[in-house]
Amino acid sequence: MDWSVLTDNRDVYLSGLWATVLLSLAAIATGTLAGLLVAAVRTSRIPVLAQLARGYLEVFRGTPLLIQMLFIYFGAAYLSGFAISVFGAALLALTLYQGAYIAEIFRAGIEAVPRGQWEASRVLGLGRIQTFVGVILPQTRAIVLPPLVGQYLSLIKDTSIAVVIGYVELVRQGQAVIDRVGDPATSYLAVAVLYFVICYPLSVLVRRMERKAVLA
Amino acid sequence: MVICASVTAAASLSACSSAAGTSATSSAQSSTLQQVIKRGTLNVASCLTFPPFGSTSKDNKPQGFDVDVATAMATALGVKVKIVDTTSANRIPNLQTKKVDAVVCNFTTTAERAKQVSFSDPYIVAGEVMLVKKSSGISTLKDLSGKTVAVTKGSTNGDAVKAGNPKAKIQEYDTSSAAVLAVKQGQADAMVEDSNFLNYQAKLDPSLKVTKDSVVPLEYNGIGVPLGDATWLQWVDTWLREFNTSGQADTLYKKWFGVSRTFPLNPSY
Amino acid sequence: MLTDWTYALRDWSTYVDAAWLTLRLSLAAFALACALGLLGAAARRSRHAVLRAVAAVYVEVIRNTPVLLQMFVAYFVLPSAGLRLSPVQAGVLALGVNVGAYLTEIFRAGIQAVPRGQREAARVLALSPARAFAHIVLPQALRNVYPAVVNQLVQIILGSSLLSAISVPELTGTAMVVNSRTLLTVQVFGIAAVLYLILTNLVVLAAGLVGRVAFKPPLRPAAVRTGPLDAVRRLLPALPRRKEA
Repeated sequence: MDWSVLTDNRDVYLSGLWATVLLSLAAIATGTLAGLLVAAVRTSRIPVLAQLARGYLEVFRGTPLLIQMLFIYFGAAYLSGFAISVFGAALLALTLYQGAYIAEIFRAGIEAVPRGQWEASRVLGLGRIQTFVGVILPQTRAIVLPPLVGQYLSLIKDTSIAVVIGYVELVRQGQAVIDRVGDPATSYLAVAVLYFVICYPLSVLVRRMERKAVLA
Repeated sequence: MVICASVTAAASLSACSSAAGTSATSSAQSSTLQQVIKRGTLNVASCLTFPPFGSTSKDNKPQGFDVDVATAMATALGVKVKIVDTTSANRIPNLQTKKVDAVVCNFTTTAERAKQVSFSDPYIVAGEVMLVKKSSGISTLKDLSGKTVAVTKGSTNGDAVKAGNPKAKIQEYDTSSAAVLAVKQGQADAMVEDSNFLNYQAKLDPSLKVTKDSVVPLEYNGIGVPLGDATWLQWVDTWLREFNTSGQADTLYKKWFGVSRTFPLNPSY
Repeated sequence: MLTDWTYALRDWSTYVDAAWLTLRLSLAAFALACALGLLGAAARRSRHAVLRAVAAVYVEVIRNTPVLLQMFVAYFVLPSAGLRLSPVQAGVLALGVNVGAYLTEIFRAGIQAVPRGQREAARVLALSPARAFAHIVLPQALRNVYPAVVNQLVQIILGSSLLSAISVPELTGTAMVVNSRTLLTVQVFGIAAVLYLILTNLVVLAAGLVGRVAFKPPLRPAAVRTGPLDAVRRLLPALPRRKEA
């Protein structure tokens, strides 16, 4: 193994790491919002909306993220001719895909809240949205948080898939170094270590939260 | 196809209506040429996994023959250049969605592709040759029977090899560099790609060699531009002629490939 | 638009071949993953610190790095170490090793959820630890985690789409090639998406049927009090059975 490869190309790896972190943070924000929205809609009393939500969940959890990304990136051209950047396509695909899993996580949390809470809120004159945001959601925290953070962990790893549509993130930069210098073992090892460095703390956090949730 | 062409036309018309200036004919006004000059930046798609045509330098900047051609084009227009990394498969969608104004990425002119995009005159000529390990003993298309051949998704090479030797097994990779790595690591017996690119790869790695024969007739690579934009295309062609006749093209070629051009830019029949 | 669909569907046999390959390699990877998962779970609960450490490192490294990277290592880096695998072999290895780490944790949780009384009862009955594990603990553990395990098979099928990056001619890679030739993006990837939905739903359906056959319903009439020996009784017909109420 030639360690000088790593120090020489420090900038390349770090820029890839930054791109990964950027996409991850953006997708975590948008994915969580999307998941909340879908979870709320799924329990809606309007049957059309509930069915749409269920259909969305079925499709986006039953097809690979890569297909969704390719569809959005290439399909945007075919359907409407408007430009979608690689970052935009990756972000949208990640939002829709992770949003589906996050929606199910929220659903489990929401269903665990006793029905009495809903009824009491209605008695107090609170609207549906007010109830959902102010009363129900805070009570889902213990059940929702561990799997939610676990899902974020999986999201960070999924950003690597964007390399196929050309997003210049960490895996892609690892490949760029191999293109120029060779030595796939060292370069991919560096990429693996960098991923480990951002993911392992989250792993530990998830385990700690799970333990707390069991004790609670 | 019709949908794509009409959508492209609609997109350029909508750009026209949002333009501040008026006067001049509507087709010139909505042309990419005017947009680029107004914008001050030329967006060009290049393949940065394809040294020496395009790659990323140590300071994470694009570099390569195609990158320099794009930069020369921008300088002639008096604007800045913005290089967008693309894969072979993304070249046409990038043009169709107007993400870029031109594609300078070893883009072979074919009639099939000309249904989706327009091509300038050739700026580089290549044969499609084979990259093999020196120890493999492969030198012609016939030697590929039963062997694995690595090609890039979105290139014309997979079909060309299949047509020439149906007994060859094709492996499709997302990038050319992945395909080369496959040969280096022994996962594929040969890789078929542009002769300029493969000569450069063989120079980098002494265990590899490039076969002499071209798998297909000579390929003429041009600059890809959006379909139907006649004003932009004629500017690119005019600039390209100056670029070639002034000797700029020869200097750039020698800089990146180390030799003089092997094939003349314009075919004679 | 209709002509575009018929044009895209001309390659239908290519799609079906690719989907069939996807299914086959997913099942192979799943088998490998289950084997690794069981070994890993046993190792994590082992008395030997070295085994525990090895299993822990395996799980942490795999679960904190992307599977795409693991596929690249299996295909592009292993040859440097002397092991050259074909694209499909490398793909099965990478997917199997990856999901094996997740199954390790799943099996471990399932085994831990089996009441200690079961193990104690098995010891009382002079069953060797291996037989106790295989006949008493494991079936109950599997029943506990069956849905989670089936979900991992679905994740393998979806994860196989990434094997296109190491040139496996599976469903996604095939769709990308057809797309670059025909440029009918919506149709091509739409067909691929539908095939994935069919595959995942078929697998879940089949798994449901298998589950119903393999695992006897756990519900027992409330009147019959069950004790730790009942599971043992069920599996060893020679022992006298408690009278059903």
